[in-house]
Amino acid sequence: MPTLRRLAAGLLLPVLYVLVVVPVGLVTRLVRDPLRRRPDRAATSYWITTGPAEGPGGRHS
Amino acid sequence: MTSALGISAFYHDSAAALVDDGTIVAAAQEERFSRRRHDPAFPALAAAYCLTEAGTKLDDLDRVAYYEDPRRKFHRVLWTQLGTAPRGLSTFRRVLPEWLAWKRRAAATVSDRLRDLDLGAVPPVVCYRHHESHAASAFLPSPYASAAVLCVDGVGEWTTTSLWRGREDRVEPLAELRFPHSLGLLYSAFTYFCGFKVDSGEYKLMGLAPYGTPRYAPLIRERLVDVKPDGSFRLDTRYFAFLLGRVMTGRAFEELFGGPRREPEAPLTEREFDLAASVQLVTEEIMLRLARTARERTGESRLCLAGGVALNCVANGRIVEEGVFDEVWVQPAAGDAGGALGAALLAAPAAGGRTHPARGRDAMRGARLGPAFDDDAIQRYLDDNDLPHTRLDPGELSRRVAAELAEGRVVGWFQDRMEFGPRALGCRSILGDPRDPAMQSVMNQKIKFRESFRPFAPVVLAEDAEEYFRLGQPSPYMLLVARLTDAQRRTAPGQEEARGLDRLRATRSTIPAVTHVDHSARLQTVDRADHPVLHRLLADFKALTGCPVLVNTSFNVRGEPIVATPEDAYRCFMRTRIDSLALGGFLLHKADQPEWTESGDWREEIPLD
Repeated sequence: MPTLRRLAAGLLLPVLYVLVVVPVGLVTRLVRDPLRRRPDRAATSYWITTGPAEGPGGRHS
Repeated sequence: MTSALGISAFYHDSAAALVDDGTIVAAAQEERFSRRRHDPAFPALAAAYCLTEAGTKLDDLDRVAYYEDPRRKFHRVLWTQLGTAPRGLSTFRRVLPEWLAWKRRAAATVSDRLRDLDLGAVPPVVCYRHHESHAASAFLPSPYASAAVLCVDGVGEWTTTSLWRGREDRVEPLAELRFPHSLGLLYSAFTYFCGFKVDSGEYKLMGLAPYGTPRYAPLIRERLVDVKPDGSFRLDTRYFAFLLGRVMTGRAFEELFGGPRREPEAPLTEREFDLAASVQLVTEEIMLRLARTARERTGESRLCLAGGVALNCVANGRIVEEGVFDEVWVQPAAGDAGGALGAALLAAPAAGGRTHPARGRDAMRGARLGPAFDDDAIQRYLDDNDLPHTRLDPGELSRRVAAELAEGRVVGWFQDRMEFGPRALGCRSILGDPRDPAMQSVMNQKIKFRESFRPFAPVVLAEDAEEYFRLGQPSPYMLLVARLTDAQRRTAPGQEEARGLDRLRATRSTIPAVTHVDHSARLQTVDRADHPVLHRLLADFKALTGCPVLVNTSFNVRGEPIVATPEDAYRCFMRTRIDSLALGGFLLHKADQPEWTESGDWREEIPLD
């Protein structure tokens, strides 16, 4: 198992990163930055309203 | 009637809490048992303790409540990867395997680990959101029937700052700010940059702030964080490195603040004092605006606080001082440990609703929610180890300890149940005479083995608090900082011009050992009904000296968790220059004890904090 994991981290993950994460990430950011990283000096507020529908409630796993 | 075991784990400060029909039966952090500070491991020992305290097995519980939602958190981790590509490969390789292997199924891991305890069949695990757990821990045990609730921390799933309304037995979400825009992470970035450890050195940065001038505050406001009038804010993440890896700040941050970060343990310079003062000022400004928005949007007159930033007692004190709310209550375990309690309170509400607000009290039992050791157990420990001691009745013990404190001795004070949360509140404390100008440096250097700049906190009789401090409300959990009254201040000639650590040397007040260089103090008020044993000790000390205040610091040395057992307490007593140890109803003197020997240097075994 440790060998398998090392192999995954050493080889598979970089391949996955280059072939999937990078292109998807770059395309996504063309549309919208998921992290909204830059301040928007013109905005009046950054608050995101959270209604009860989006908010509470435990989730069984 | 429902009962639940709350668990917070796998990040830092793991904890367990047991709630039965809305009543908090037990709560403790894993670090106290494992003796590993801020232990992030599954809280097996704390969970077992909670079950023992409740006299129950896992079978008897209705639910296990986990303090965050692993799937949402995984979602955030993945989006962060997409957001930072192609620059995040090293983080991707480091974090993805553990997320794929078990972290995204943390609730199942909790269930498996509880099964390993062999304490009965594990009830279903319910996950609550990180900030919902914080909000519940802030409001449900508070003494208020309704209140505004503000949670501010580093990050949970996505939320970093959240505003709620607490009413009856529930918390309703109103608004939030999301990762990576986080006041906790902003503060941690400066903690890291000033050479302290993230997630524990924030307290040092806050203690350092009064030595400096906030000359970087305009730069922080202009470049690092855009704050709107309603307190909502965004960071400019180009200046931070936390999205990309293990460290908080990178080259852009260094260019902004004149060179590389201070190396840990390197000498402190004016720049660190001023950086600390600046980020503290900006934090206070943001917290004040957030509090004002909370008041406007809820119309409530009382505020409940939780989340790691709510441990910033200076900012909390500003909210009280500015009168934004009529009253403020801070969850004593405001950090992630408190999430275990909040989740358990959500999962096991009282069938008859919250009744304690009608009695004007909170439901935290003075935060005394951990293990206690009765005198029989302590006697056995002392006899088994042949440790010289005197057994005293409670009144006599209190008078003797008060007399020793008045003579300038430092006393380890181990009584009652251990506190839940990061502060020692008079059950696992080291006490001293605050009138002694040398006490701060003695305690810092010979007892706690920590940096000389760090201030100590006063514990004061609630009925005398106003005479010493300008606060106007109780502070039972040492989470509010207040200014000394003018009557208690003393200014020595030349003191105003002193800079940096030189300011430490001046006598600042009638209680210099607990007065910070800006005449502030992180205050604990002691009410007779809430904390009778500590109240009696303070009253006895006042009878001898006229002073209703003592120095109260946690019973540990730098880098070590607070002591949990009589054995831990004795070890700390013998390793340090503590003069006497009050262990339950027993008094031990250093001079009477057998010589203490240890193989190796214990200082090297405790990591620096």
